[in-house]
Formats: sequence, C-alpha cells, structure tokens
Amino acid sequence: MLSNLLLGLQGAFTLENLLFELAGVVIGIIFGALPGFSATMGVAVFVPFSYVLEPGAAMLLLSGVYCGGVYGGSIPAVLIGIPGTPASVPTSLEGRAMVQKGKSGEALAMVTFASAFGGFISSVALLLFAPLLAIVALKVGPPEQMMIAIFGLSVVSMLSVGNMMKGLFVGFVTLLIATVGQDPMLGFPRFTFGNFQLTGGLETVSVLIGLFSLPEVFKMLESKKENDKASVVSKMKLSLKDITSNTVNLIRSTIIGIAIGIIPAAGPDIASFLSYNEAKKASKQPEKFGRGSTEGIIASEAANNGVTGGSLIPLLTLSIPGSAPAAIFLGAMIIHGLRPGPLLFTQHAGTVYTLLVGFAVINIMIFFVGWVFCKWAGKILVIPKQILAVIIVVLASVGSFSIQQNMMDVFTMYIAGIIGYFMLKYDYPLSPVALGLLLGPMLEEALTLTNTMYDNFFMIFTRPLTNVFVVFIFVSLFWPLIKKQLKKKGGAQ
Amino acid sequence: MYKLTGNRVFLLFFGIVLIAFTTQLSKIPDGAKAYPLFLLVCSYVVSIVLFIQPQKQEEKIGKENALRIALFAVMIGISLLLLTRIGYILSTLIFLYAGLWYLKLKKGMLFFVFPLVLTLSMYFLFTRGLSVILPEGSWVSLTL
Repeated sequence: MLSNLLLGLQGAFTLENLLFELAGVVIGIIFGALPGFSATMGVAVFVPFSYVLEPGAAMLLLSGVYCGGVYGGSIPAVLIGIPGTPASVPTSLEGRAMVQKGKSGEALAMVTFASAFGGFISSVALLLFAPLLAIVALKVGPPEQMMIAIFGLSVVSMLSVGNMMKGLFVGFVTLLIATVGQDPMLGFPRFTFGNFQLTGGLETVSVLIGLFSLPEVFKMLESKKENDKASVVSKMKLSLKDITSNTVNLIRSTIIGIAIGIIPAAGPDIASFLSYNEAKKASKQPEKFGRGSTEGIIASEAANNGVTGGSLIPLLTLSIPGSAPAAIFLGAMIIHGLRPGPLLFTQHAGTVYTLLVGFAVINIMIFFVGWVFCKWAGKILVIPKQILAVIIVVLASVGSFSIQQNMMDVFTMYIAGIIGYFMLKYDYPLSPVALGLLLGPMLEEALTLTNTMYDNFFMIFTRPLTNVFVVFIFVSLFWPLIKKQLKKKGGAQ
Repeated sequence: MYKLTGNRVFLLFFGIVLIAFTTQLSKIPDGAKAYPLFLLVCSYVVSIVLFIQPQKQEEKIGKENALRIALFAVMIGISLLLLTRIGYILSTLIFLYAGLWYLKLKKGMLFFVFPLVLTLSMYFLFTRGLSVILPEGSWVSLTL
C-alpha cells in the first residue's frame, strides 16, 4: 500500500500531470459555471482529448473537469441566482440573500472553501476505501459480475424517480442497441443491416458526447432571451473564525456527501439537501437559514463536492457508475485499457494511485483556481449564448471524429444528440443510456459464462457474494421510495 | 383512438426501430439470439405500455422556436456532410459564420474574428497536438 502510495505521489506530482490537473480544473469550472453547460457535458466533450495522453494523465484531466464542473455550478447559483443543478439550490438560496446584502465575495469565498474541503476529504476517503473494496472484488467471478451488471442497471430505477416506465424503456432499448455488432462469445454479426461499419458496434463515447452536448445546445436556442446579468463580485474574504466556527458542520456535511456518493445514483442533490437540513437542525441560529447563512452554504457545498470522491469508490472497484459523469469516466477508462475491478489495483497500480493522489491535488487546486476565477466570473458568465452554442457543436463533432478518425462516429454523435433532445422534451432520462451501453456487453458475457459454469442456474445462489449483490439489487429497486422520503425530509425544512 | 401527442410520435419512431431490429433476427444464429430476443420483447412491452397509458401535459416550445431549432440542426447536419467534401477548415468556417449569423450575433469584431480563431486553434490542437488527421475534403482540400 505504502509503495503504491509513493508511486501515486510520483505520478501525480510530475510537471506534466500537474498541468493536466490544472487544465482539467480550469475547463471544469468554466463548464460548470456557464449557463446551460454542466460537469457531465464537460467530461463527455473532453474524453476524445484524452486519447493521445498517457492513461494516468488522461484520468487526471477528466477528474479535473469532473470536480471543477461540480464546483463551478455553484458560481452562477450565487451570482445570477440560477442554480445550474438541483444540488446548488440551497447555495442559491443563501448566496442570493448574501448578494443582496452586498456580500457576494464572502458567499463565493465560502462556496470555494467548502467545495475544496469536501472534495479533498472525499479524495482521502477514495484513497483509503477503494483499495479495501478492491480486495473484496477479488472474489468476483462471472455469476457475481452478472449480478454487478444487473445491480448497475437497476440504478436505472434510481435515476428514473417519477417516470419508472420511461427509465425502463430507455434501459431496454439501450441494452438492445448495445448488442449491435458481434456477439461476445461466437463472434456472429448482429443487427448490422449489412453495413460492415456496424460490425464493431456503435461507438459508446460518440453516443454519449452527442447525448450530453447537442440537446443542451438546442435547449439554449429555445429562448431568445439573452444571458441574465451577473452580480458584481465584492471583496473575497475568508476569516479564520468562519472556518473554526464551522468545523463540525464541514466534517458532518462532507461525511454525508461521501456516504451518499458511494450509493449509486443517490447523487449530489440528495447529499446537498440532506446536509443543509442537518446543518439547520444543528445550528444555534436556524432562523438565519434562507437569509444568507454561511452555515447553509458550507453544508450544501461540502456535501455536494464530497460526492465526487465517494462516487468513484464503487466505480473503480466494481465497475458501477452511479452517475452520468461517472459513466462517461468509466467509458474513458475502458478506452485507455483500464478495466475497473480488483486487478486494476495490481496490474495498473501506478496509474490508479496517480489518479487517487491526483484527485486530492485537484481538490486543493480548486480552492486556488476557484478563488481567482470568482473574481472574473462576472465577465465570463455573460459570454453570448450564440458563441457557446457553436463552440459545443464544433467540440462535439471534432471530438467524436477523433475517436477512430471515422465519419460514422460523427453521424452517430449527431443522431444521438437529436434523439437526446426529444428524450429531454418528453421526459426520458438520459443517464440509463450511459449505463446500458457500458454494462450491456459485460452483462451478456457474464450471463453466457455463468450458463456454461452451472448446469442448474440456481446454483449461483450458493455463492455468498452473489447473494450480497442480490440484496443490493433489491435495495436499489426500492430506492425511489427511500429517495422520496429523504427529499421530503430535506424539502420540509 | 389515442391522441397523437409528441411523446407518442417519439414512441412510434422507436417502434419502427424495433421492427427493423426484428427483421434482422432471422439472420442471427440461435446461439447468439436469446439475449437480444429477450431485450426486444421487453422493449416492445414497455413501449406499448407507454403508448397506451394516459399522457402527461407536454411542454410547448412554439412553432417559431421549433423551426429555429430544426433549421440549426439541419445546418449542423449539412456541415457534417461537408466535412469529407470540403475538409475540416472550410466546413467549420462556413458553419461558424452561418451559425452565428443565423443565431443573430451582433456583427462586430467578435463575429468576424471568433470563427477564425476557433477553427484554427482546434485545427492545430488536433493535428499538431493530438496527432489526429482531420478530414481534408474530396472536392476542395485546404490544409495548413
């Protein structure tokens, strides 16, 4: 463990990797802060840029975009009053009240500090717990892999609260589309319609780039309204008293964030509302909540960013992407030959520990880069949306072409983007597409291998770990009910 | 009869896709057929349930907005088709100028300089920095 940690330190602190971490953070913050953009879109669009990089550098670049994007989403929540994501709603509530009191700088300083703190502690948790869980993952065989894939897919139900049937529809159709190409065991071409370019299947990353970028461009065009004006940023300041008086709040909120992050698809919005609610209950001045409370901002932001490291724990060890950015991250890892699972920590120890240590470095960088960015945010947030729209189109098309230097991938991206727009319009969740495309082939392969291992299929239930995953599957299927209760609890405050 | 809402048209589109997949089943050997067949059946069942269940109120975007989005989508499509005909540089420049004009960006320094800067910076980043050979064009070829 110690030697691996040293490997990680060496990898994360090379000049080249530090530059990629920095670049990722800057890009991520810009993507998170710009109206209509998101961390998911940032990770999707920048996956192709990572192809020519060493796997470690590529993962650091994408981690920077992911963490920076989650943090960046809170900047317009304070300055414009529009939360970029549901997770930024509590921050927006408190931040706007502080802006009206002329304390926009203080609000942004709190957002930056709490985000960096939550993200950093979550990266420490990732560093400690991921290798431990990887030891358990060593016992995983085809039956367990099958259950893991089903568990990952059952996340569809978590992602589809309120429209379960639509989530299932997207899940099944995506799994079906994932079968296009050669079958994993016999190599027969399926659903290729006589087109040899389809023999290799549809390029997953192209689909994801289209799905998470073009619909946002089309949504931007729905309104002729120009961007909302951002408030002027007052002096950014952070006193020692602000930190010491909020230590318990910071730690409690971060722990909530990490724990929620580990649960697939529970996501930053639940973490943010839950910890905001807990902070209010524990506060000596609960009446200040909703009127510009720094405690509220800290609770929301520490939890929100605490999710980032937590969500990578099941991803790196069990291949379970709990959220859309994590799913795209998984796609990028597979392209770089990094198949998540126990062997990842032995066969690619240098790369993985570089990522784990780099994740901590990235969250430290967020504090400094974010501090500088906030001073300029007022100007960046008013970039005309026409410019933003065409930038995304060019990035998406050139990015998808660069995957295999093949026009087929570009048209796949385009069609996925148009379908994605209608999915958003008619309330179909997009995230199950990412899960289906990534986990579909794994499920089919594990299912076939399990069938050859056992004459009686039910013998798989004699394996303890298989049963553990069966329990997880049931919990995730009932998760919508649990989530509803948690939201009710958080929203009631 | 069922009222033809936007969601139902969307489902009908996927119905056609599912039928297209079904026609291919006979060409797949038995050993590789079971898993996609199961998924196909599940997809049909869920889409039929979604089609016949009561529809939610749909958000309206208005004819003018719908036309603006559709035309912009067509512009993207044309620029992608042109990529292999006139190459990355020309097709991107044409798309950017046409797109910004169409989206009514005020004509000033930004309007004229931005497309050039974006096109060339992406070109050099990909070709020199990432060693990606961008499309050069079969009708007209412009490379730097």
